[in-house]
Amino acid sequence: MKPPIIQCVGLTKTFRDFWRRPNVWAVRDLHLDIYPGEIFGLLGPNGSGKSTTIKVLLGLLYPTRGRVTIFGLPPTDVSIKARIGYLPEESYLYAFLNARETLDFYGRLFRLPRAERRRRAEKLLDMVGLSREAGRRMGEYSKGMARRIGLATALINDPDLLILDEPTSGMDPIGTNLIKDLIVDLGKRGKTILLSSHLLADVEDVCDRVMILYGGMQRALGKTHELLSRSELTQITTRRLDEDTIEEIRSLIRAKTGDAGVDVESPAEKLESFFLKIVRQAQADRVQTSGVVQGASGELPAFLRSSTPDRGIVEELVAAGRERPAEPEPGPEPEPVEPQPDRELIGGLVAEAAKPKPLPRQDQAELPPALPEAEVDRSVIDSLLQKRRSQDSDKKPREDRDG
Amino acid sequence: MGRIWSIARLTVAEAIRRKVAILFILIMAAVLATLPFVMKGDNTLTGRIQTFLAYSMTTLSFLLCMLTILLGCGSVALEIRSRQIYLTGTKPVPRWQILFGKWLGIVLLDLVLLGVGVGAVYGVVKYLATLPGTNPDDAYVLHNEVLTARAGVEMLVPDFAADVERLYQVRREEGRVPVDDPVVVDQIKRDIGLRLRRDYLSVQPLATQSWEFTHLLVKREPGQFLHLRYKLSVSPEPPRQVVYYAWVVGDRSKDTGEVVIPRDDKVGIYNEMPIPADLVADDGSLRVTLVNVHPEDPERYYRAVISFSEEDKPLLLYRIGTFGGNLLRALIIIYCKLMFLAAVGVCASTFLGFPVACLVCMILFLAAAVSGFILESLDMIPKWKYIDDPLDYIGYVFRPLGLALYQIVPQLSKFNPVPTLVEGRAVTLLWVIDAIGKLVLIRVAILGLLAYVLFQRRELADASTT
Ligand SMILES: Nc1ncnc2c1ncn2[C@@H]1O[C@H](COP(=O)(O)OP(=O)(O)OP(=O)(O)O)[C@@H](O)[C@H]1O
Ligand SMILES: [Mg+2]
Repeated sequence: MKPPIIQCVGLTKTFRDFWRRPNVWAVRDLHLDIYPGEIFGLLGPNGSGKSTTIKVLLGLLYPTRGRVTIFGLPPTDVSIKARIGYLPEESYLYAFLNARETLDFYGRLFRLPRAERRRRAEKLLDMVGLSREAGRRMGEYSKGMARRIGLATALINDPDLLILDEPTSGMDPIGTNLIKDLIVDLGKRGKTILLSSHLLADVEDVCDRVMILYGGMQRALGKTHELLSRSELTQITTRRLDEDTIEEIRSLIRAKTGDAGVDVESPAEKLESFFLKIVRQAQADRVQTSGVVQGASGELPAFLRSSTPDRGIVEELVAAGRERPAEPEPGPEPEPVEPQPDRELIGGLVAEAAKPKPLPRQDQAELPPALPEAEVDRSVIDSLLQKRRSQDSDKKPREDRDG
Repeated sequence: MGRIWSIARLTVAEAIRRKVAILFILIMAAVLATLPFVMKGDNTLTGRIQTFLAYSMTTLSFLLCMLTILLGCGSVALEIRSRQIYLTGTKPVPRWQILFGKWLGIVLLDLVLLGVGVGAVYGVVKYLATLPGTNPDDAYVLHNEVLTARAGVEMLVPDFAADVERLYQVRREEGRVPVDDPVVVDQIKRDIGLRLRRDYLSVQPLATQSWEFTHLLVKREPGQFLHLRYKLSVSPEPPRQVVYYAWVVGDRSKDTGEVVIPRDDKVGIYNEMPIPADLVADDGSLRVTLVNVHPEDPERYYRAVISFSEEDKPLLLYRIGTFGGNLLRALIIIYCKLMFLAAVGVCASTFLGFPVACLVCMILFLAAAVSGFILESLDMIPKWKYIDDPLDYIGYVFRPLGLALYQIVPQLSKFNPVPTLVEGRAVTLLWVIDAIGKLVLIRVAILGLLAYVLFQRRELADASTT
């Protein structure tokens, strides 16, 4: 096997407080090898150390302990930077430059000749769909637009190693697809890609290997499909079923197997449930983290749940003296208005991950008939569908390769 | 160089597009447009131009210093705070090139702004000089004492070391030295020297006193003039502050002509007296003699001692260059200051946040700008051996601290060419070289090195301290 492009040995990174005492252990004793041509996913709850790891790899932070090499050299070495493309977690572009100037500026830092800079800038602007807006200052761009330019800057040097920190954050579904396609394409061309993301379905689609971090430590690492195949379980995939049918199947299985657990969920949530299991396991193990710790069930705080506000909060929030109608008796905590069906599954993360999840395929197929044939500008939908289709065809060879 | 140049250009573009530089240009334009009409000086054309020159150049230099400090302190500190450095710092650009590019950008912008500003000042001055003067002398004074570049030679005052020793021995033999304590002896000798030099610079009523200037490198052509610049003190004070007396210029023993110049000078202000250049002797020396007698009416003279102070001895000024050249050299000295301040700012911004860096730089700038004053007051703190007030011990601690500070902080007050320019005195090439050497070659280099070391150690993604 070729030597790894990225190698971390015992990487530890602590942050210090005002008095220079270490107070945050962002990354702890991390071992990481990423090989040429790999698409590697870094997962973990908020504050688990993904971005910190990436910054150490790029030389933006220095490791507290441990050794890091990229292309066999320390991250501070300038010569390797020419081969790296980096998309930070947010867009940190110069607000006073326009998109074209932005790309040109970074192109210059890579010493690209003028003609080549122009050519690449136009191609990239075209790819991210912002050719027509490229004359506007970055300060005027919306979050997602700026992020697209950020992606374009990351690619201006045709990097061998692409490091994407939450590439899909702030992107619309089309942008999300664009990025997925791009990652798959670049992967096929032999580029190495390291990405962190919260969109587990997407990660599952594109990544060869994933690592799940919790509290700065590795909790799981392996090939995506191996991590997800659980031989003791059987998964039935059918067209979408209505609640009654599901209930019927449930009772049927229960009758056949005794009181075994039955989970009914959409297949896209495979990595999601695996992820949640790992994170919940880490929490059960009382692993220390400086990141988020999910509450037992992600319940709403009591004062948000009850229909009549809690007296204490009201007193804090509402100016004293303002008349209020009589308070209800401060009885026992009111029950949630509507019990949530699979509360166990809903960590804070699910809400995050579920949001921009692409529509189930069926819905999309149904979408065009729902609209009148003519008149509607279908270009958007078409491009969406086309991307999806091409991506489907891309996925097959990838899986073959893995297997 | 391409990368440094890109970053420099970006810095300039940022200053312009963020309207910092535009604001500066507007202020400067307003100042230049209004000053000549608001400031009338002493109402002569010369006075008006001198005031304009002084105020516009001071404002220009001060504003540019502030702008430079702001841009310097913002340079990397703001990029770290708003995290654009995440991108620049992960491109194949060594960190020293980022710093150097930032510095270069600021300094380039300064060059353009300073050049345009000084050019505008020059234009306005040239325009004002075409206006009619208020009296016949005005034009002469303007062109020979302001819009010129003159060298100044101080009057020679011997140190009288031998005389001091002799007079001290006389005193001792007379038994007027109470103890042999070296501190006391020192003091006595100092007093004797002071008195001797004071006598040398004073002329009793009805008496004369001659002095010499040497090493005058002046073309002794007819029509050329030197100017003797002096401030008189007269005691007791004469009526209406005017004293009548005469100068005799020239040295018969050296075969020069001799000219008697009757004077009625105001006391306590600078007077300038033109002296024909052919009175300078072949060896480059000039002898002047003050005659303390009313020149036209010796009977009516006012009985008073005329004297010069040792700190403000008469100066002999003569033209060695043009106003334009002088202004250019002044520009270079101011520019050296700006290069230095830009380096201070960039250096501070490598390890401090923007507001703190600004504060530190402003304080250092002020300390450097008033260095003359501070050093003077440090000098007044009594030496250890003379301390009698316990409070003076505090001063004793501060003195070395202050002196040490000025080993590092340059005495920027020594690099202010504006007063010299306004007096029509030469901003010498030597001075320019001194500024380049001390401010740029030494200090910018040291600051650059320091900034490099600090920035290399800096974690670019850690903005928590700023
Ligand atoms: N500059 C810093 N100073 C102090 N603590 C920091 C700093 N940067 C990160 N941390 C801490 O390090 C831990 C890991 O942060 P990191 O940004 O790596 O998380 P992440 O996995 O990228 O989270 P997210 O999913 O929210 O992006 C957090 O507890 C965070 O507070
Ligand atoms: Mg992050």
